[in-house]
This record gives sequence, structure tokens and C-alpha cells, in this order.
Amino acid sequence: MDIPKYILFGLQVALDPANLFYCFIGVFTGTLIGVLPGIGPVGTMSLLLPATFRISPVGAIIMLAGIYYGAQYGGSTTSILVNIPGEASSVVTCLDGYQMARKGRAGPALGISAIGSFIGGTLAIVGLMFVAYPLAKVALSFGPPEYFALMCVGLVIVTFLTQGSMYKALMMALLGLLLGFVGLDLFTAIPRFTFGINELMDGVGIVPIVMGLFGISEILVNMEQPLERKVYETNIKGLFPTLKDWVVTKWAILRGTLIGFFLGILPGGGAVVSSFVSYAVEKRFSKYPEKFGTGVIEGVAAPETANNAAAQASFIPLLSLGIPPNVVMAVLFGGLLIHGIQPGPLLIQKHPDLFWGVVMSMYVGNIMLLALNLPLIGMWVKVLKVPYTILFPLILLFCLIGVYSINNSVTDIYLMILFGIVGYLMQKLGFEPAPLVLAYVLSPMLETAVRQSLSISGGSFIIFFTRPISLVCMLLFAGLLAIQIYSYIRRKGPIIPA
Amino acid sequence: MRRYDFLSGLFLLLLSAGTCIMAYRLGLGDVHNPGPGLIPFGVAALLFLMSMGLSLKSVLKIRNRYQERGVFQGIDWRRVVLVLCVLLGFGIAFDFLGFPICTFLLMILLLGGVGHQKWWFTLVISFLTVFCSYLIFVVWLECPFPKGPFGI
Repeated sequence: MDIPKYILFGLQVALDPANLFYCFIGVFTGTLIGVLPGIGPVGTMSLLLPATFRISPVGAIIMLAGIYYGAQYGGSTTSILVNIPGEASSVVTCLDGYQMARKGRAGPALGISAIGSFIGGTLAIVGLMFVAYPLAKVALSFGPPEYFALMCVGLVIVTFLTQGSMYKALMMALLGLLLGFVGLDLFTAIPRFTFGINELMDGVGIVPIVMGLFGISEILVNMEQPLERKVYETNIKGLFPTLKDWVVTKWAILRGTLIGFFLGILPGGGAVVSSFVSYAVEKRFSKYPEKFGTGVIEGVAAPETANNAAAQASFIPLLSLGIPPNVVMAVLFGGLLIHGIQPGPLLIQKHPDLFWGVVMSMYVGNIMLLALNLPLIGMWVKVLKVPYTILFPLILLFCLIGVYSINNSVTDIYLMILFGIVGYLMQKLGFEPAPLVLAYVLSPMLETAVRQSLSISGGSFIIFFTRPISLVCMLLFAGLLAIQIYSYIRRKGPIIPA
Repeated sequence: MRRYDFLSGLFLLLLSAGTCIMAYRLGLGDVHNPGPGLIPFGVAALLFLMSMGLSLKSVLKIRNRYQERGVFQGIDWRRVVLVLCVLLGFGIAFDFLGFPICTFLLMILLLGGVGHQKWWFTLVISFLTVFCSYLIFVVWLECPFPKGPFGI
């Protein structure tokens, strides 16, 4: 079968009534949690993982994927109307989006954000189709040394693209690797770091870690602040941008798509980094950079297009190589494993219904999102007005129920609380959780790859430098690592004034 | 932040040192035949060195610790601690009080105790939450939650 036939096959899977329903649930939930600050796609996806046990793997992944790209649409609504980003990837949209709302242009800001997201997302799916498939074919020739080298590069790029200290991010990646070693050794079945707790024999589950680090910790941080927030009172009318708006945003949307697509593929890139980069690039390309931050429509179009393009593109490394490039994909990786599907280059061959079904469902999902976000914007504004004092108990309840239902064990609840406290302290002390989660997911694969490589080479580490792909990756890894260490040593940390 | 860097570095230093010892006890094997502790030992040793670096750098950089602004200053700890206690209480009571009672108590404590909502509103929302979540998770999704003293 060639690609057009696969596309038709994928459409058939995506348009199956049950899958259409799951796609709608996914994008609807995604938009909802995008609109609501305090819970992101990572927490929601892990929350809904147990609920997917009873549905087909294709339906489950379609729904979980919908949550991710749906959240990118919804995140802009709060940025524009409340000046509070619903998602980290919409932080930069606050700068011009909120200013547009204050000038009475909330409608065009929301409109260009939804339309830009649609264009960026749709074009990125085309890229996803044409890149993931050949990449998976190439990856079939990868052995353990190539995988090890590739994962090393992935981890170091994640720490490189972090928003805080790279040194601390690297430390978190190491901590994540250690966390992944908990449980039975894959080769000897000897329990490691389990402290006699039977529930830890299978390792620490991804759901308690992710819910704790991203869900509980976020609520704990919010508990420090006043729980009330004010929605900007404005009449939302004229959602469709004017001809002038189209003229000034056409290149911003195109550049946003390209930036989002390429940064989405990179490990650690994803929606957040691409939105910041595309905003910076747009400002540089603009004839009036000084006006950015005062309500310029390109400042909304570019990041919103980029974050959606990145959200779609980040599926490429997961579906073709089996390597999650960001935390959301790490949760999806966990979801695939729970459903008995091993992510990797063989995924497309073994489960074409899943790959092509999910890809084509993204087209359908993007159309649904356009309908959800333009005519129904008034509904999301009403959702925004639900007080946080009512939302946070519900979020906590769903976290507790969700984490318990994975193994029907209160140990998972305790672990989630523990990781919640850890995540809270990490936020306070400037340690980012994303490298930890990503390293935790890659840890078993990384260890297996090292031990298999050493077995193949008879104990010689030279194997990582004698094969072309692994050699290139190892050189890249060493170079990036050296830059990080050098910049840490050279940097003179500021003393924070009183 | 430097003082906190020192403390977090110290914590990670102790954690990684402990992990190194445990990994060593698991058996390192050799490169031809790696034992279950070899890779964890290597990773923990790297973390140990980096933690030492973080702590040392923070010690060297503290010029005037009295001018440092604490990241934990001015925080209303009561709500944070209260939420954690409620979560912990839910975990402890879940197995013997069961899903409906625990959910009801959790909502009452969070809405009324932490969110300071009016008592009638707290009761109505708590009851509705128990009812809806019971329908979704127990009836529809058939999650095997503990039933508690009333057998529901």
C-alpha cells in the first residue's frame, strides 16, 4: 500500500462513529482545560488514561491526542480575555492578545488565533504524514547503539531548551533516570530500590508522577495566591479578521507553521518553545517591532499558529522512533504501553490503523476545533467565569480517583501526593519537571540499549563511536553537554537584591 | 535562591550517595556482563558530582545572604498545608470509609474549609459531585472502588 491508500484507510478509521465521538470528547476536553488555568494537557491526559482502559487503543489515542492539540486552541482564550495563559504555550499570546481585547478587538484576536491554529495544525499534519512514515522506515535499521545515542541527544536537547537553568535541568534528567530504575531489573528480575514495597515491583507509575508534578503542584502553587480572578468585560463581536488583518498576518502564520513544525520535532521543543521563538522571529521581521506588546495582531497569529503546528509535529518522533520528545508525548507513550502497543519504528507496520487513524483524526479534530472555538466562543467565556474555588476541589478529586483507578491501590495516591510536594518545591527552587518525566520514560529503554550494546560489543564502549549514526549522535551529545557545562561555569549568577 | 540552591544540592547529594551505595550492593558486574546496579550506580555518581557542583557554586556565590530574597517568603502556608492534609486524609480513609463518603468529606473540606464557600452551597455541590462521580466511575466505568460501611 502506498501513502494515498493509507490516507483513505486512515480516514475510514477516523470517521468511524466511535472514533469520531472520542475525537470530539478529546478536542472538547482539550479546549476546556486549555480555557481553564490550573490544569494542563499533561495532567488531563494522565487523569483520563484509566478511563481509556475500556475503549479500543485507536479510540484512546485519538482522544488523548485531541486533548493535547485541543488545549492549544483553548489556551489562547484566557490569554486574550483574562491575561492569564490557560497553557504555558499561550503565555506569549497575553502580550498582544490582551492588549487587543482592551482596545475592543477581542473578536479578531480570538478569530485569528483559532484560524492560525487551524492552518498551522493542518499543515503540520501534512508534514507529519510525509516525514513520520519514511523516518520509521529508516529507524528500522537502528540497533541498540543508535537508540542509546539518539536518546542521549534527546535528553540533552531537552535540558538545552529548558526555560530555567540548564544545569538544574540536567540534574533533573539524571533524577528521572534513577526514578525509572525503580522496580524489577529487566535482565535479572532482581528488585531495585523498592524498599520491600510490593507495589513498586513494576516501578513507579507514570500517572502518579505526572499528576503529582504537574497537577497537584500547580494547585499548591495556586493556593498561595488569592483564588479570585477577573474576566475582562468586553463585547466579543466580529470574530473574523478584516482584510487588513489577513494581509499583515499571512506571513506570520506561515512562519509560525514552519517554526512550530521544526521545533515540534526536536526533543524538548514542543508547543511552549515554538510559541516564544515564533513571537521573537515575528518581532524581528516586523516593520514596527516597537509596537509589539501593544496589541499587534501578528503577535497573536504567530505564536498561536506555531504552538499548534508544534503540537502536531511532536507526534513524529513518538510514532516513528518511539521516542517521546516532550512530556505530553511521554504520557501518550505511557498510554500506548498500557494498551499493549510498543511505540517504535514497527508501530506503523504493525498498527497501521492506529497511526493513520490518529493522523487523519487530527484533520477531523482541527475542523471540530474551528467550529468549537469560533461560533461557541461565548460558551468558553462563561466557563472562564466558573470560580477557581469550585474548580480546584474537582480537579483534586479527579486526580485522586484517576490515580487510584490505575492499580486500585492507595499507594499510588500517596506517591502522587509525594510527587505533588516534590513538584511544588521544584517550582519554588527553579527545577523544571519536564526533563525528569522525559528521562523517567526513556530510562528503561536507555538502560536496555546500553546493556544490549555492551553485550554485542563484548564490553567495549567503542561500539557507540564505530557506527555512523550513533557516532554523529554521540558527537552532538558531547558538544551540547560541553556547551552547557561551559556556560554554567562561565555564568556569573546574579545576587538577587532585597 | 543561592541558599536554597545549596540546600537542594545537599539534598540531591545525599540522595545520590544513598543510591550509589544501594546500587553497589545490588552488584555492579562488569562491562562484559553488567549487573543490575551498574547503570544506576553510574547515573547516581553523575548526579552526586553535579549536586556537589551546585552546592559548592552556591556557597562560593553567597556574597550577602541577608540581602537574599526568599522564594518562600510571604506565602500563606495555611491553605497549602490544609490541602495536603485533606489529600493525605483521603488516602488514609479511602479503603475503610469508601468512595462516596470520602468524596463527600473531601468536597466539604475543600469547598468550605479552603475555599470558604457558603455552607448550603458547599453541601449542594458536594452532594452533586458525589452523585455524578458515582454514576460516571462506579456505574458507567465500573471502577472497583472500596464500598465503605454502607456497602455502596
